[in-house]
Amino acid sequence: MTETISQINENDTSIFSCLHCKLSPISKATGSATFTLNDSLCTCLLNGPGELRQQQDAINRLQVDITFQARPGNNNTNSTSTKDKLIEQWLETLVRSTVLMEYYPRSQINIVMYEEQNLSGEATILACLCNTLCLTMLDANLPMKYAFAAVPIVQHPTKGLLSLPKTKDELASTSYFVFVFEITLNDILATHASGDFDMKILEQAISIAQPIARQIFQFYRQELEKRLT
Amino acid sequence: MDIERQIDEFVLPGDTIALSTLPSPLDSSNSITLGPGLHYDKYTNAFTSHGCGHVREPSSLTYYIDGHRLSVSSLTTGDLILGIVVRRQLESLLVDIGYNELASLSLYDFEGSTKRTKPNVDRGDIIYGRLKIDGECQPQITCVNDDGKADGMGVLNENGYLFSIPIDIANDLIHHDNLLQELGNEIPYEIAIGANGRIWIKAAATRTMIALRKVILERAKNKSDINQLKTLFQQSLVS
Repeated sequence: MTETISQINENDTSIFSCLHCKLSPISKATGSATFTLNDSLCTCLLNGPGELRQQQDAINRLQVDITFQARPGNNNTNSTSTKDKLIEQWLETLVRSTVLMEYYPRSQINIVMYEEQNLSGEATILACLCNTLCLTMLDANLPMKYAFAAVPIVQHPTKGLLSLPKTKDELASTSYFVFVFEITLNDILATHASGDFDMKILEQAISIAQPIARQIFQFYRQELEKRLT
Repeated sequence: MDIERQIDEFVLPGDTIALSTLPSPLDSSNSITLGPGLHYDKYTNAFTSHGCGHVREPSSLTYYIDGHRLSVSSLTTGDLILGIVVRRQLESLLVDIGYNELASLSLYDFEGSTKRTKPNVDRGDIIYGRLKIDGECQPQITCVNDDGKADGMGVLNENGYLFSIPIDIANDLIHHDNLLQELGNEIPYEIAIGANGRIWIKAAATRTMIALRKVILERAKNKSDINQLKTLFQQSLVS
């Protein structure tokens, strides 16, 4: 396993060719967004904050319900698999950390996330889901403490660490990281990693991912401002 | 991050904004008023945004974030709003007012409505009514006043034309209607302004309605003065 870091020699505008988004594709929902990251596509919709219809715990806070619908593929059942439930819980921690829950007592929001296309591996789809979720909450104008963005990094056997990897590179990679950054100090909010690596590689991956996250926030600004004109 | 955003700039949640520096807390004559979407952190002495939108300063030392979406902070109980009926249930209607939730309008809240004579309203009709909203429950609309009279509220004529404008412009038009009165002196027309950012107009000729819409949208975009808008209206009537 090589330990070289691939230099990001492309100019700033090149990551914008990997990202596309469409805001408010579902007009009846409070907020919705479709986001594309390389070869992965996700749609998310958000309804709320509305009346709390179940007898659930949130008396003085907002009740958050997230449903993740993966692409029905290899598992021919209709129910959510355990891995997808883990993803739901992971995304729920992100929502809980940023949404100002005390502003909406006795209310609930419903978030439904659809994975529409995933031709690469885990890293890209996880990052795509996070970014779609953030864009949806921004589109719905939910009061949040900070916006967040996820960056996938993979460790290729010959090319080293690659950020926003293309499908071919990702499928050939051995380990991957997904880092979620927040906008205020560009600090890490959440991480998911899988594979064989040591702390040095992890730190290198973080340092590659940070500037990419800044560009993703720039992308959010452009797209959201475009929605208004 | 490091960049401080200015007034009228587009911000994301978490951005710091450069508002005027905070005066001493004992000096109450210069206090800053923060509206929805803004937050002051006393540990870092910074103003941060909690919403996504443009920072606006409607009057001196008063700021808020304009999210361009109908939220609970833009509507208050007692506002007159325009809604579109989505469903008719047994004893109530579900009305879309552009908010997160559908509003509920009881079929008995119309003038002269009793158990035997319910009004003839169905899906797709336009309703002008008074809103009752608080953050937590489903919003409610009523089309009668306390004395049981409609006073202009109720189902609007299907030959009118409904369109949307930004919410702050709608509220502005409700309070300062000299433009609308001047246009009324030229050609008679009917107009209903909803505080949820919707306008319904009806005039004898389609050309008048198109010209009216053009003038209102022009005012929303550029805030030109009355005489310029009147000339635009007259030109649109002819061309």
